[in-house]
Amino acid sequence: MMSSPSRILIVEDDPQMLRFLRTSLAVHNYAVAESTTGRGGLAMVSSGAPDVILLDLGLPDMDGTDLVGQVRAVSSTPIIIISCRDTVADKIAALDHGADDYVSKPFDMGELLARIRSALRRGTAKGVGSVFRSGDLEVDLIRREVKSGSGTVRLSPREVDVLRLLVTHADKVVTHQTILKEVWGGAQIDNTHYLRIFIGRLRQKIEPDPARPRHILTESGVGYRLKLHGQREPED
Amino acid sequence: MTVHRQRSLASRGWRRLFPYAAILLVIGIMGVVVHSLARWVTPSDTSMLFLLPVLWAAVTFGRWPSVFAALAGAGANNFLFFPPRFAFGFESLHDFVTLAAYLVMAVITGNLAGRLGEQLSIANTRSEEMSALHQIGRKITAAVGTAEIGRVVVHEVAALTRARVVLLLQGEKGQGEGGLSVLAAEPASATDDIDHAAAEAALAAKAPVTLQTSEDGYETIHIPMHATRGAVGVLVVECGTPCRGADRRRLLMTLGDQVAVALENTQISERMAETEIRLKADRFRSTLLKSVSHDFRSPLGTILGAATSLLSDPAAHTDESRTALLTTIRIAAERLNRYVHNLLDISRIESGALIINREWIEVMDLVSVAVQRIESTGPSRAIAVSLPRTLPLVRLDFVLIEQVLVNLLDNAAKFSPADARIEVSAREESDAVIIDVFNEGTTVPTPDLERLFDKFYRSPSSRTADGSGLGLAICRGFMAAHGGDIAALPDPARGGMIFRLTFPTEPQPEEPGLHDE
Repeated sequence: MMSSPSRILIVEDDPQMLRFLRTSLAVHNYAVAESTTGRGGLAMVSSGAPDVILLDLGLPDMDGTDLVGQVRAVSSTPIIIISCRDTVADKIAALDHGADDYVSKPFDMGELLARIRSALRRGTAKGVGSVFRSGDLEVDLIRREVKSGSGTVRLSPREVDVLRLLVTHADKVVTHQTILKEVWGGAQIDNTHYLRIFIGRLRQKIEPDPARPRHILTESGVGYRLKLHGQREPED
Repeated sequence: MTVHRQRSLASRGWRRLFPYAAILLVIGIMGVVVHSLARWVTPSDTSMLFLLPVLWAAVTFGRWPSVFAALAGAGANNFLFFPPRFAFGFESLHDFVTLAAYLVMAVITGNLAGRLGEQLSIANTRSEEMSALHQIGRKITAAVGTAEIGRVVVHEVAALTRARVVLLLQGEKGQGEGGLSVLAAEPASATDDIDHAAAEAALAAKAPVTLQTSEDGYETIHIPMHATRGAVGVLVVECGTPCRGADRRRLLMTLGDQVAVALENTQISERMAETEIRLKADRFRSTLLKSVSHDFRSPLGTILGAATSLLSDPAAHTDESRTALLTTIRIAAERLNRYVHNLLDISRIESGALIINREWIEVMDLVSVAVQRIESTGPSRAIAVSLPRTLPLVRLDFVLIEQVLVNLLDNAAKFSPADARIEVSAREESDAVIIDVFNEGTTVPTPDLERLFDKFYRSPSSRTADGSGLGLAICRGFMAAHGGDIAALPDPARGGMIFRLTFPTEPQPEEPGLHDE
């Protein structure tokens, strides 16, 4: 973190929000670039090579969701949506267009900083190894075993598939549709109840207290997020 | 349509000739039969026998065919049985008188029988019409709303008269031209050749206006419909024979009256319902404004006051006082945020803009999300969760019902002592899944229980705690939108309150193959 500061591009048209973000991020040693329009932001993605993009969906010159798609066409920089629009449909649309994460206004600065840190981490991650550790949880994706505080549990092949998908996108929301498409195939994309029952049983295996999941978190109406705890780099 | 009419024209010509052909045939056959019995019968006997086809023709076909049968019978009699046989003419005066008497008798009896037949058929038609009217009336009464009445009327009238039917409705304000608009038509293309001027004329004259549609006897009848409060509309029927005759006209007029009354009643009740909704919306809006001005200003005042205090004299503040002021800003802003959220929710419910996005949900998932949300924000309160290992899936909108649980848990924490027990439990009953949110310590007097769910209601015991009085109203709105139920139940045994959510269980979806490759 001390070497060269990470660059954050903010695309946001509200001057107060912009000032607040600029100030707070600078305090945390980020180099901030900003644009108040979608077109300007898009130009800065190519010229400035930011490490993370914070994007407001309600821009004056173009629809934020479209902008996500256009950025994705030229860059894989993590995008965190910051928006007043907080309907489930908006979130899913932005995530489906390639956004990495979503924070609704008003938000807690601590929360945003955590999301930025995890986006930066993903940007540098080397891909998924065979063993994944988070806090007291250890998942061996090859041997299909879960070690947690309470002992060792076997996983089914499909459970491994779902976990691998979540681990690949650790700390990031994965929509119901994405999981169903990747693991069950496109024909099951509307059978979200498959996933509900499935995740319920998976939690029984890996969560110390399934009524208060610590690892697989539910994002209401959108999907699931695998939360990383403690030493978090996946091992090869 | 043209083809259909040509065919019916041709068949109408055939139908007109058929009785006479049938009469000739019957009399021919009878002539042959009687002729073979000629040894035993005299001409006066045969005259008696030939009264039979006349009676038959009169009853079956009516008066003119019976006269024709009488003439044909006299001819056949004269030709076959009166000397000179197998020629027309008379050999004696007696024979002439016999035949003349036959003819007179035949015409008279034919007439009498024919009239009887006609009266019978009129009576039949009347009773058919009455029952048709009765049936249509019943169907109209069963129809709900103006549009459906329109559909039923055109469909039934079209079926009854084999006609093209259009129902025009008199607009509320428009008088004269342009006031009439199509409510329903069968077939839909029947609206193409609507003559608005004729319809207006019928309304103005309060009498049907008939236009000749084409030369083959089709006509368009415009039947005005009036009820107690004036013109309701016009029933336009384009048809042929089934509508001809004064009886049919009367039937259509009676029908028009029936439809007019039904339409007027429906319009009145629809208008009353609209007014009711508007009144309710007005009341809601004024309460809302009162609430907004109070509940917004107070946290805004805190934020503005604390911020200006920090800005006006930064040097005067210690670290401690700065933190204290910043904390009040944060708490006031969070309160404002919650309040905005509540207002958005309640107006979505009130405006009917609530979109329910139903999915199959595991109760455990739902409860844990709500519990964790409360635990992550508020001052830490222990929430006990007690769920059976298996519960049926419920079909609901995750986000909305999560909000219901969060509101209930938030209330439980807010309105009970800091060490009071809070518990979420769930169970399955015969045809429902029940989620209970219990908190120790608070009790609400029974008369206040129902009012808890009213908008902007704050129970006297909770006035001190901050709250908009919207949380439970939102819960009820969201639950009602799901067809679920919410109730507040005192729990004297444990000394607290239960808020009970009831979700009807539905046939469970097909189980996925969870562990297949």
